[in-house]
Amino acid sequence: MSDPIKDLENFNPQGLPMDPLTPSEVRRRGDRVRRRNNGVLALGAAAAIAVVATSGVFINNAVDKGQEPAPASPSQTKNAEQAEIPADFPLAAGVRGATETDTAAMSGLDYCGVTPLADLDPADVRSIGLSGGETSITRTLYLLDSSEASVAAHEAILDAADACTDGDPKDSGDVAIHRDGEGWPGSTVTEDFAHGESTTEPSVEVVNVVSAGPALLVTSTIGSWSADINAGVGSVRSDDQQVMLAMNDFGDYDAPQTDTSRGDDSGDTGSGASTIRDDFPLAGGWPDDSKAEKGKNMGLQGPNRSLAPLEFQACGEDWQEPEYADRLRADWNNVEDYRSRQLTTYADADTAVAAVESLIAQQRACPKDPVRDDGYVNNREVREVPLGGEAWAILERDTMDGADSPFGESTLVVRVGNAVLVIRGGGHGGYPSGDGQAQIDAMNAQAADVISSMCEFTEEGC
Amino acid sequence: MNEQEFDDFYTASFARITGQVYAMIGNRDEAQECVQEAFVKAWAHRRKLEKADHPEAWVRVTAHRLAISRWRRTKLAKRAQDRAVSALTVAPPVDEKYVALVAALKKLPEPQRRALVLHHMCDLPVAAVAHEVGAPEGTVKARLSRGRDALAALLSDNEPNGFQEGASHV
Repeated sequence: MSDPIKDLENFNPQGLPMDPLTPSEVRRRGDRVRRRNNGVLALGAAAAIAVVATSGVFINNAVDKGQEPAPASPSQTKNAEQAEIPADFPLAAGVRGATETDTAAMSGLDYCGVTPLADLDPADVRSIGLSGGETSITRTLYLLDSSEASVAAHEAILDAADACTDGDPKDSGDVAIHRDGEGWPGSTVTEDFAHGESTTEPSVEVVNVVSAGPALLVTSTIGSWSADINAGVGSVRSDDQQVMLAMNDFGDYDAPQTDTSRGDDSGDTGSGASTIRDDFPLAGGWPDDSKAEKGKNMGLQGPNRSLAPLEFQACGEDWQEPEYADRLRADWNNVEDYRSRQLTTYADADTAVAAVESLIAQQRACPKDPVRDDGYVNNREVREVPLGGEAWAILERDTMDGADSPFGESTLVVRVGNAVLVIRGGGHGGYPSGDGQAQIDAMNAQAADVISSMCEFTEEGC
Repeated sequence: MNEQEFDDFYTASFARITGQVYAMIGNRDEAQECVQEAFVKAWAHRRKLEKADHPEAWVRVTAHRLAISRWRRTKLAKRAQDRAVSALTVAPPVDEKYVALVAALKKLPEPQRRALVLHHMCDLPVAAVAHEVGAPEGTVKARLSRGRDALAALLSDNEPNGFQEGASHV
C-alpha cells in the first residue's frame, strides 16, 4: 500500500485534463460582472454624496426622531478608546418588551453554511431579542478593537451573503445584498425563504449591518415581505434608525469599499421598473424652448413616445436592437444644433447589458465608414466613460482626404439598471471643437439630472 | 493588478488551484467550473485581490465557497446547466491512484478533508490553514491527525472497507 499522505503531497494537478477559458475571456466576463453591479453601487454612492451635500433625508429623518443629524461620510473615529458599550445605549429602541443580554445573539448568522460572526472576539457585546407570535427581532451590538475590525466584520457578512446569492433555492432562501441608500449608511442582506411568493407567513429575514467607529450593529428581523422585499428593507431600516443614529457616538459611519462590486452576479439586482413614467424629466438640462429660433421641428419636441427612434449604423449596417419594454424620446433643435435623447427600458438588467454590449461591439468593429458619395469619411471612436452602471461615448467625425472637417456627431450611451439612455448631439451640439473629452463632459453635465433620475430603473430604487 | 499580471497569475495557478479544489470536493468538472468562476470574480474584484496577501488563497477560498453553494443545489439535481461558466465537458478518466485517493478523501468529514488538502497538497503551514478555514490551530492539528488516520485506514490494502467508524469525527 502506498503512503496516502505522500500521494496527496505528490498529487499532480497537471495530469488532470482541463479546458480552461482563455485569460482574456475570463477578464471579459469579470468586466461584465463588474459593470452589472456598478450601476447600483454608483447610485448608492451618489445618494450618499447627495445626503452630505444637501443635508436632505438623513437630517430630516434625524430631526423627526428628535436626534442630532449624523454625517454620512467616514472620517476620524470619535471615540476609538471606548472599551464598553454605554449602559444607556438604546439598543432596544422601538422594541417594547425586548429581552437584553450580554451575549452575541447574532453570532449564528449563517449564509450557506458560512457563519461570519462566529469567531468575533469583541471587547464588549450586547444583544436584545423579542420573539413570539409572528415577531422575531434580534439586535446585537459588537464593540470591537478598531474601526478596521468593524469594517472587516461587516465585509465578512457581505462576503458570506455574496457567496450565497446563487444558493440552492430548495435548500436556503434567495439571498440579496442591498447597499447603503438615502438615510442609511449601512448594508442590508435579505433572505427570502418563500422565493418571491406572496404569503402571510413570516418568510423573509432582513439583516441590517452598520459600522461606526469600532462598533458593529447587526440586526435581524423576520417578516412577511416575500412579495415586496424592498418594502421589508425600508421598513426594517426605519425601525432600526434610532439605534443606527445612536451608533454615531462610537465614531463616524463606515462600510466596506463599494468599488468591490458585490452583489448577485446574476445581474437581476440591477433591474427596476420597465415602464417609463410620462413625466420622466428626459429633457432636463436643455435650454428653454424659447431660446430656439422659430421653425419646423425647432425647440423642444417631446418627451413623448411618437418621435422616431434614434438609429445606429456602422459600415452601412443597421444595429439590430433587441426587444425593449418602453421608450421615451425628446429633441431640442436649433440652427446647426441638434440634440436628441432616448430612454429605453428592457425587461431586465441582463437584457439591457446585452443590448449595450451588442451596440458597442457593432460600433467598435467599424472605426471608419466607407467613403460616402460626397467624399467624406466618417471616423468613429468608442470610449468607455465612468458613468452610471456603464457608459460609452461614440465620437464620430467626418474627414475629407484625411483632413478633419467641422462635421461630427457625438453619442453618449448610459445604462443604469434595466434602462439605457442615449444622448446624441449634432452640429454645434455635436462635435464642435474636435475635443472628444470636452464633448463628453458637456453632454454629461447637461444630462446630469436625467441620469440621476434613472435610479428608479434599478432594483434599489432612488 | 493589470491585465498582464492577471493573465500570468491565471495561467500559472489555474491548474494548481483546480487540482486542490478537486481534492477538496471530489468532482473535477465542478472544481474546474468553480475555479473558473472564482477567477472571473477575481478580475471583477481585482482591487480586493490586490489587497489580499495571497491572491491564490483568495481564489481558492472563493472557489471552495462556490463549490459549497453549488453542492447545495446539485444535491437536489436542480442546478441549471446554463448557469455554469464553462461549457459542460466530458473529461477522460484521471490516474487511478488519484481516483482512489480522492474517493477516500470524499469519505472524510469536510473539515478534515480541507485541512489535509491545504496542509499536505497546498503545502500551507498549520497556522495558514487555520487562518484560511477560520479555526484555531489546535483544531486544525486535531483534524489533520484524525484525517491522516482515517485516510490511511480507508486506503489500507488489508482493509478495503477499513473506514473506522467514528475515527473521522472531530
